[in-house]
Amino acid sequence: MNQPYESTILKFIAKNFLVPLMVVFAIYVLIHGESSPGGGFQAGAIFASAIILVRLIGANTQTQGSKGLPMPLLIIAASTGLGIYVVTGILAQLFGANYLDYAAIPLQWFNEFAGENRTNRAMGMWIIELGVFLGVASVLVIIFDLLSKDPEND
Amino acid sequence: MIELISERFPYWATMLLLVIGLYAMLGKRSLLKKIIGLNIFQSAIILFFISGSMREGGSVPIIEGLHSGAHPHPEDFVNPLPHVLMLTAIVVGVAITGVALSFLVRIQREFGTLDESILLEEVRE
Amino acid sequence: MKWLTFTFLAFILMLLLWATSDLPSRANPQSPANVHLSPEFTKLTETEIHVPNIVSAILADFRGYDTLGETFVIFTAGLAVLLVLSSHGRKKKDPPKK
Repeated sequence: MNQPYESTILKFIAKNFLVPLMVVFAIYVLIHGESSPGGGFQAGAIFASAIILVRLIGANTQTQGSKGLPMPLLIIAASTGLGIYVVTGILAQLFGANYLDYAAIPLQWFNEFAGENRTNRAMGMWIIELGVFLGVASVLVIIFDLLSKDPEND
Repeated sequence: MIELISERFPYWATMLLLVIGLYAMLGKRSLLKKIIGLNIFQSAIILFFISGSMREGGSVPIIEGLHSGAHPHPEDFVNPLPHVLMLTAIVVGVAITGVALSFLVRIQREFGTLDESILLEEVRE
Repeated sequence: MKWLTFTFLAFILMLLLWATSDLPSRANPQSPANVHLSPEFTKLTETEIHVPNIVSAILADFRGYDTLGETFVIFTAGLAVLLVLSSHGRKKKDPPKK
């Protein structure tokens, strides 16, 4: 790996201000995906850019070695995201509806727990957007990691 | 004349962008520039769909005050369907670019060049 | 070879510009894309799904199969990059001569 660019102000701002802001904004976009512009795809892209920014400024070299998030963890996260989506669809079938028909899944207990008034469909949409978020974010980081890998230092 | 231009300009700009992307894919010899051309082509198609989803007097397709009993009229919003299609198309575009760049990295490692004509000669041998 | 490319591109550009004259004018509320299928989505979002964001409602509920396939595409792209670029089980080649 090449030596990261040694500009302390840029590094400081990016590491201590920009990256936490991007992570919080990604989670906000994910959670408010039904009531404001946002959703799983956008949140995944923002979250992946936060992680890629950490990679770019080389901030992870001091803390976790040169690897950062290990590749098996990323692959497991991507598979988990896809699995959440598929299992939600099968769950709807188990409750007697069509595949991906979230209205049949009983999720009202979560409404009472959170003190909100949402339909089953809104809750099901939120769950599959969580799956999309995991899949998109981890796949984008996988692609960046593999493209920026140096074959000699393997 | 002004009306015609203001009505047609988004389509003309889109078609020009499309041809620019096509030129980068056909006329350039570097494989990396071909991928940039692919991305320009894709951006042109996305812009075409988004400009087709416009509706006069329409606003952002988010229903305000839904939980307090507001009744939305479809005429108040821009067409949401092309937005959905293009949202997924953008992500697929990123995936396509990632796979194409990974192929380029392999080609660069094997042959040491990304020039199309040199690569064709090397493959023929 | 260069002039052939440019001639072809000019021909394509003329063809596309000619084709735009058949398209409905911009932001026309009566264009086919705006009167067909999208008003139903807005009404069904209010009555069936009850979330404010119509785009999210279409993405995750009406077109759930589409988004499922989309997620598969993303996942497959990640796997493809992993298989193309991972160096496990590949013998070291000599660096190219040129």
